[in-house]
Amino acid sequence: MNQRITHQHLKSGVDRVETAVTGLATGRWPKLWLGTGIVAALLVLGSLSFGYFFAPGDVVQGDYARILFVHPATAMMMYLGFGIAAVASLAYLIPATRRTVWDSLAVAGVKVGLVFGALALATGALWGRPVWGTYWTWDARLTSTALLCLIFLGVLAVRTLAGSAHARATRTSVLVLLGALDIPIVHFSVKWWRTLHQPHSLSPEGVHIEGVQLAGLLGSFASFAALALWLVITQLRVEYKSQVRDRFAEDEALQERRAEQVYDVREQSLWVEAGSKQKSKQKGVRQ
Amino acid sequence: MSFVDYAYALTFLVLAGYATMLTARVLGNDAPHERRVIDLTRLEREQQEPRGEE
Repeated sequence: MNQRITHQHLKSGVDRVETAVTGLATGRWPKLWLGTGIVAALLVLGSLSFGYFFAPGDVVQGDYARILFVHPATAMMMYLGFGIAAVASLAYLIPATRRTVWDSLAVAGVKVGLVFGALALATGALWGRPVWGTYWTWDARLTSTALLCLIFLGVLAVRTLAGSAHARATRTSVLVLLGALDIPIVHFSVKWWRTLHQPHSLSPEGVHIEGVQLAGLLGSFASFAALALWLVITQLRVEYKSQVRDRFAEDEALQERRAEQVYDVREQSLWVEAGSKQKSKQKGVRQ
Repeated sequence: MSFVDYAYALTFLVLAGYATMLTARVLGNDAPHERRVIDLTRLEREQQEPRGEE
């Protein structure tokens, strides 16, 4: 079967994704949203309970090895949030796919990514204090992660600048894509620079953990991913509605202003008319 | 409590707080008085129209 991917196929595929994302943004499937949220919350609760109550300690690190079921998952979800933001920003910047919903999705991804990024930094610091002897060190992984979070925090700051909705969305998209360049640097920093942070436990070169710990780690990734996706969808609903509300408020304000301008013009023309009559009267007197 | 216990507590509290806050905002947005502010037909129209090119 000779199936060629044509431009039409791509367009219909993009349209389907966009319809689904807009459906999520407008809360089209409330029961699915609620059900997914409850399942995701239970999964994360199960994953955290496993790490807290049941996971065995490590030979070297002892009890501190339980950080394995919290910290890596939060860092991965930071990548997920910022990655979603980058894809949505790209969709907004391409004129053929430009829609308000992509801008809302980008902001949702940035916000969720920042929450997980802050958690990754905080949980890492809490583990670092007893194991490394310090909360913070200028290690390549730590520094690049902090920088990544600062860049995306900057994205939210730049959104508060004055300008039209389109200008704001374009600025956001460009900055998100620039910030996303730091994601591979963060991920491969432990490989490129041999500093304090430990190298990858799971990589194409090999798996350095096994048994219960491997299962717990993969379980934490899956459960946190479910929650992170649900949080992105929920944040998207909030952002989209707020953007639409702003747009309508802006439209109404513009209509009001235009009505005022019409009134101003009428008023001015009356003044001009009255003035010219007065002048001609004065001229008449002189004459 | 060890430092790792604090990490678990922090993660749980932050995620639970964030999820609760977002849920409250979504349910608030879906409240009848909010529906009057932005009716769904307008949202549907928004979905159909290309936006952002002004």
